[in-house]
Amino acid sequence: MPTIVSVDDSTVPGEGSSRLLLLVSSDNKHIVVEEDIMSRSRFISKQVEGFEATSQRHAILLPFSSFVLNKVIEYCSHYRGYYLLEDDPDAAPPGRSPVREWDQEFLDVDRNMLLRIIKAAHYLEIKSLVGSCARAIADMIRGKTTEEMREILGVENDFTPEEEHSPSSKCTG
Amino acid sequence: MPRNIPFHDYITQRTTRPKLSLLSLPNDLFVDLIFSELSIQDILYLRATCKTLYALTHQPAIWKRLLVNYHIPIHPLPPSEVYSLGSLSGFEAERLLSRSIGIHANWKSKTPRIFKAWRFPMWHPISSMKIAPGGKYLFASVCTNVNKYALKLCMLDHRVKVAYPIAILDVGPKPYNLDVKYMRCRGELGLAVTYMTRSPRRRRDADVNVSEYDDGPQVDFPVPILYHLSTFHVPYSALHVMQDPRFPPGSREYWDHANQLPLPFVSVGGVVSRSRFECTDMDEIDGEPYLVYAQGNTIVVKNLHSQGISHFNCYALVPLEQSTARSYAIRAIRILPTQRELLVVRTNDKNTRHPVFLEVYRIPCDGEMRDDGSGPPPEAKARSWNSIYEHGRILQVRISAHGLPHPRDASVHATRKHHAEPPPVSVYMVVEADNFWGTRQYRLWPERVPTAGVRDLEPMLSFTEAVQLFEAEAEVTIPLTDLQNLLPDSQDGVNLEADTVTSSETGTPAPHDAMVVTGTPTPNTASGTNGTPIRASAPVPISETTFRFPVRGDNVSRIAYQLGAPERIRLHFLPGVARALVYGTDPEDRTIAPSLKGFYAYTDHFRPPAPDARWPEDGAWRAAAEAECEWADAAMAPRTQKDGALAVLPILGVRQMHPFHGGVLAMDWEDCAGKLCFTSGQEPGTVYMLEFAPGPTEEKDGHRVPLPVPDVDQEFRI
Repeated sequence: MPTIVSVDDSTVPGEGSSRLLLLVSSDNKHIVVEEDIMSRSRFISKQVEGFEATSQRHAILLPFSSFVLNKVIEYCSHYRGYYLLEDDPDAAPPGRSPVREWDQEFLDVDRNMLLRIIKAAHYLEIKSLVGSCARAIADMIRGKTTEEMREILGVENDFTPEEEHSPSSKCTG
Repeated sequence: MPRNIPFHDYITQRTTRPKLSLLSLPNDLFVDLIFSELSIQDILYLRATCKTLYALTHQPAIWKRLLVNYHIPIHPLPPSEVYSLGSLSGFEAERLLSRSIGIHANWKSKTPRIFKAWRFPMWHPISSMKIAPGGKYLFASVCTNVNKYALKLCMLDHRVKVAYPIAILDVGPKPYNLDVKYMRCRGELGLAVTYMTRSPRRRRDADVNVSEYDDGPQVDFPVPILYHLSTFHVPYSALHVMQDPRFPPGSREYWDHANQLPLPFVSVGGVVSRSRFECTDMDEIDGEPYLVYAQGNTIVVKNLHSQGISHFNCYALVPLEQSTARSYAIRAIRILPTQRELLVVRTNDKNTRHPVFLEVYRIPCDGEMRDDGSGPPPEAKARSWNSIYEHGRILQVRISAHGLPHPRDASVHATRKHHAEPPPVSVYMVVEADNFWGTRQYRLWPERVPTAGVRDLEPMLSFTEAVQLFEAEAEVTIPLTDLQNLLPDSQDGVNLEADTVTSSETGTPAPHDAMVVTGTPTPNTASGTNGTPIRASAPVPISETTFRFPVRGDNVSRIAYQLGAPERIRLHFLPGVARALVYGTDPEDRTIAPSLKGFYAYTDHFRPPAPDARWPEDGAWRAAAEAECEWADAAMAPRTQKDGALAVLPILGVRQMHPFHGGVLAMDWEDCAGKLCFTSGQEPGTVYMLEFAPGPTEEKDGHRVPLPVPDVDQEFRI
């Protein structure tokens, strides 16, 4: 039997006006969360629309661990009821995501975790969180040398020596 | 799955939490979100990390976004929609940025270098050449037969061929003093080219080849001759058809296609005269193309659309004795289109201790001061002027091109924020006396003014003298061996007028006060507080402003570099727009292809005056542009004021042959894109092109080097 984990004990199911959703993470944790918290996610919103069309409510299976999912829910709870321009599907997308201080503290995690969060946010289609994560990744690689960037990004140098030493590969500077 | 690992081992390996790679993220996250936070430098470093990122960093979207958001000045492009943001390829966008940052940093560096050298055939001996602004086209005057000359139009920057000739115009006599500009003539945008020729005046002298003589002023021709000034227009539509990407240049299809097309040259104006044309300039004023030329003391303004001609004589410098007034000669002119004014530089050749006059004349509107052949041209008074005493003979006067954008630019410049400040207009001079020689630069700083009032502005100093006396004794003399370490002796004249006032306040009048020219009895009101209607008015939005270049005491700064006793080297300026190239020749060398005795990058180290506080955007823009260039500047080791103004440029040997051997027949410099084209005396039919800015390179099939990149916009482009 899967264990059912309530996100926040204060929001007892049934008391609030919002309806509840059951999210199942990849490590088989069941998480109950209020629908309007997760409405920031386009993916969840579309699922809910599907429920209303068929008037059947299912658990939503998500391909990432409860650890990551809780982090995303923490983000969504913080911005519950806030209007963020990037998440508005009808608004024109802003050129660059704005800097939000809370997000910077929230994303002050190791790079593996950051990567998992951005993947989860991308899957759930939470544009504001994806933007903040991308900004955090950009902050990590900004001003670094190529070797440091390889370390941060976790990529291997797959150039052949001739390719690497070609003068045109370093086009400026 | 690797074959040599047992299945259960493979499973356990997978579950031991490998270090996650960022490459597992979707590509659009990189291109749209991560790269948009990074600078060019970071993206170039990322490019070198691995093959996946190498390919991703070549996405056109990244470079187009940087191009729009960056503040650095981008070199001019043909003002056509072919170069608009939507039509621009990613390669071209990257090249634009890379060149603009690169030439800026390279020119200031202690050791400027050549990034690429090309060599391409022109098939005929070349006598002179001119690169169009932005370096996309080259006009060359070539000799096709004995006493038969032609004008050849070449396309540069072709992604496969680098350069190839696309049209030729038979002229007859030798064209010289070429000038090329993007202009709109008869409603069509295109390249306007103007050139001079000469021919024997009498029919019986037709066999005399007057083209073979030197193009300078001190030539005695054996027969009376006629001077011609011709202007041709190459509409951009015709050019674009010639560059049809379906026909690769050099192929049979290309020649078949090109031969079907009519000649793209359209004659838009010709002038024939018995006297020499001193200097010419052309520009578009209020949407009308104008050609301006000087003959003696007369300025002639020709509207190339209506063919109306106005003329006037430059103000005779009355305060000086009549004899000296006659010896003043117009040395250089430049149209300042936004203010409808003409900058004229006059010097006195007879007197070795004489003022240089920087004057601004209003360009007459059509119908004013018409040349109807009824009499001598009327005399016009300069709207404002500045006279500066210089010692020695003034050997060369060149004015840089103004960096104002084309008023109807449809290229990517229209998409960028268009309130960037243009560089100053600089007047460069080479001065030589018995005991010293040096360079002089006068910078006219642009001033932001509301578009509505730019023409109505009264001159700030209407004939109030702003005369500054520069003492040769006070200037630093440096031995010639330190040529590359020229030290600036003064940055006098940041506020010329204020300096004058200061000297009179301290009670030590300048020793040559008697020579101060006083035009009218206008009182010399103290230090630039001349109230003008425009200064007092409330600021208008930045979109309703434009730039003008006033010749005013506080707006002209003089930068003088003094050298030791004259040696056997004579400096020449190739002014460009913002970065002048200086080369030296032997003064005794009177051959057609003088050998080079030095090759220098000229930079003044003086910061521009503070931007106008009424439009804070200018200050923010300038600071942002400086921040964007900082890393490239640091990488190239900029020279400081201590290192001097001139840096020695390398002279490359190409293919074991020194192209500068045998002298230089023809040379032109395009400073915005950093291109120098020249022809050596050894190979008169070959053009060498040196690029002083880095840029990406591409292979024939559209792939980038060193590694191929899937190129999304490879098809149908130039």
